[in-house]
Amino acid sequence: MSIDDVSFAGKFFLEKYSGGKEVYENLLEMTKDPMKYNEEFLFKILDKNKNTEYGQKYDFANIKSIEEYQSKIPLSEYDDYVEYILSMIIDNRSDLITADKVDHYSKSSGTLGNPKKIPCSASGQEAIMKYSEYHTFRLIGEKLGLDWIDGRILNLSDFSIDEIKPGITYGAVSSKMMMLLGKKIDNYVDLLQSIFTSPIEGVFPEPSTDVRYIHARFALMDENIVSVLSSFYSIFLELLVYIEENWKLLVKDINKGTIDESIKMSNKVRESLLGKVQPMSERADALNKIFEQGFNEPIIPKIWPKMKILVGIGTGGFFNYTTKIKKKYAGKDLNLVLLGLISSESIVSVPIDLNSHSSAILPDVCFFEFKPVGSDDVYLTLDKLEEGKDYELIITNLSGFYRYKMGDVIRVTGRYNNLPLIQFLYRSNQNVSLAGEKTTEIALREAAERTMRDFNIDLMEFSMYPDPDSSPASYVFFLEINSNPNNVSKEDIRDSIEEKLSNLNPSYGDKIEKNVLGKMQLHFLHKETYLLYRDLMITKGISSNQLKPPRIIVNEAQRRFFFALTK
Amino acid sequence: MSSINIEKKVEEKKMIVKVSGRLDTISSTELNNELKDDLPNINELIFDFEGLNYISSSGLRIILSTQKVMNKQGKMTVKNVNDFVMEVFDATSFTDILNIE
Repeated sequence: MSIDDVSFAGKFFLEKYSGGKEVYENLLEMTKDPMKYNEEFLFKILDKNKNTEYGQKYDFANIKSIEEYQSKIPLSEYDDYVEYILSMIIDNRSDLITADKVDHYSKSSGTLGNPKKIPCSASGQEAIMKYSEYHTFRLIGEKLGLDWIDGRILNLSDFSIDEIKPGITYGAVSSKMMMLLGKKIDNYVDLLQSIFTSPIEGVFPEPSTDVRYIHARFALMDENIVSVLSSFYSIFLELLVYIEENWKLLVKDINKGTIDESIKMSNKVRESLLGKVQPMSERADALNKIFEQGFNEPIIPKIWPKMKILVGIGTGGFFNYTTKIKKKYAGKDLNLVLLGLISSESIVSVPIDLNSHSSAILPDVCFFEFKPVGSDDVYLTLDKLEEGKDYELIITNLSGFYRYKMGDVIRVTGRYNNLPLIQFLYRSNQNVSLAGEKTTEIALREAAERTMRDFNIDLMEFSMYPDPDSSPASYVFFLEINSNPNNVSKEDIRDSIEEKLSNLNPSYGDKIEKNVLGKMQLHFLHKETYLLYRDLMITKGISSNQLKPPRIIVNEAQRRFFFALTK
Repeated sequence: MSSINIEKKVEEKKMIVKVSGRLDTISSTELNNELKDDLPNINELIFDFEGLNYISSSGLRIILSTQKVMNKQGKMTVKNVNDFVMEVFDATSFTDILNIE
């Protein structure tokens, strides 16, 4: 294909792919001696920030080794930076924790409380752009060729962003990237329309617009979609379930060029959308024939035969969604680009292969320290890690956080040359130990999922509350289930989860047997409870791109929320 | 038979919606359908929940999305909430979001 034949969107993707060459090759180069690059990164950061208030307080200028850095600088948490951050935002002060310009604050996903404001400096944004966009496009091109470059993306990410004050934004970094793109490109809206299947009303939705309908409707109209961008894979799965449940209405609308009256949106949005659709009887007939055959076989290759790529976060707690998408809807031809570990504080790792749940840590984006799980005061550098072992992550980033405890636990799964490959396991505060049993989120998830498989129950989501006030202390499980075709009793489900959890974590089983922990309790939640949780969090200002289901209930607000919505 | 009864009164830009019975997954759709036509044309909405004795997650989602719409175009008040529903509002932090009389 000649460059002249490439569409507007294709040229945009091609620019990212070409720009990604250097990023991709540099990363491969760094895999040979990642510790060298990571050490260089640390000293560059110390030098750059030696005259900041934090740098002077801890004498960055005279730190000569990693050991000295570790002995002089304390470990830190968000609260250690709050005063500085408030001064930066309210009084416009600079050079407090970073010499870099900070014009964006990321919203942390948080809990039901107020979200945090995590500084994201210009260099931090650049690093995210470099790796999440350029590297990803290059990786896909390297592995799959460029056939996909001319197709459109089904985008399910939310790009809403707030402005704290002129020029200072607050929201997800991905939204900031979109905003910067908008400032750089004159025909930005045309570009978005050309790249994404959903119209602008679905990309920047008004409150209370039925966005799922818009995404599903416009995606079904386009049989040439090649890729899906879904901040979390769970969002794509929700869309597929929505299509399965509502295909008759969607096909009817596509056939007639209408929007059903039951679909919620303002008159203005409806009018605008109606101006963008027309009757598509041929496509509607084709879809009708496909859907009438049912959903027992993967539907994606039938409705979107060119779809090849699904980009998003699908590891860790999202693993069950990933499995369901592949098994039930996608079949073997959909390639998963499982984005690595990206948090409000920094991008930490990126995939270096498709369909891999492991990702490579980025030695030029953070200085990394790793605390082996269960150890005290041991902080290893990336060259000292052991494969198969689990570690808590401590980072020094580009935006003014030093030896910052991220709260994420990762497992080292292998190496690419000398660069450690990791998998996100769980948040360290998502580790339950009511009586020293140390149950991980993974064990809880496995116990719940194995039970659901055994009983053929379709699980929407689960949470667990470690109840210290019952006597003896006990685990309380909350399940939202879509269907329970065999009407398995609550008691049988509870006993099965308890048995499986006892096998997965023998310490838990031992404590149940000895009555140190009480018998597990189980509650069913109303339908749509997790959707409500998501709606509420979005109302409180959390970006949907950052929302994760609260598998372990960690605070009173969450506890009250889930107990109030039991059946 | 429907588990909900909805009485709607529209006076120029003001709408009063009396909801009684159970606002569950199925009846939430009914409430949604009742609201959607009039919502774009009003700037004041009053929900009277005197007869509402149960609200599920789906019902809460409708209330929340309606509040978001009204935040943009006027005001919304919820009144005569019974103790049971108020407990749910309180536990789910809806009391921070809604204007409850």
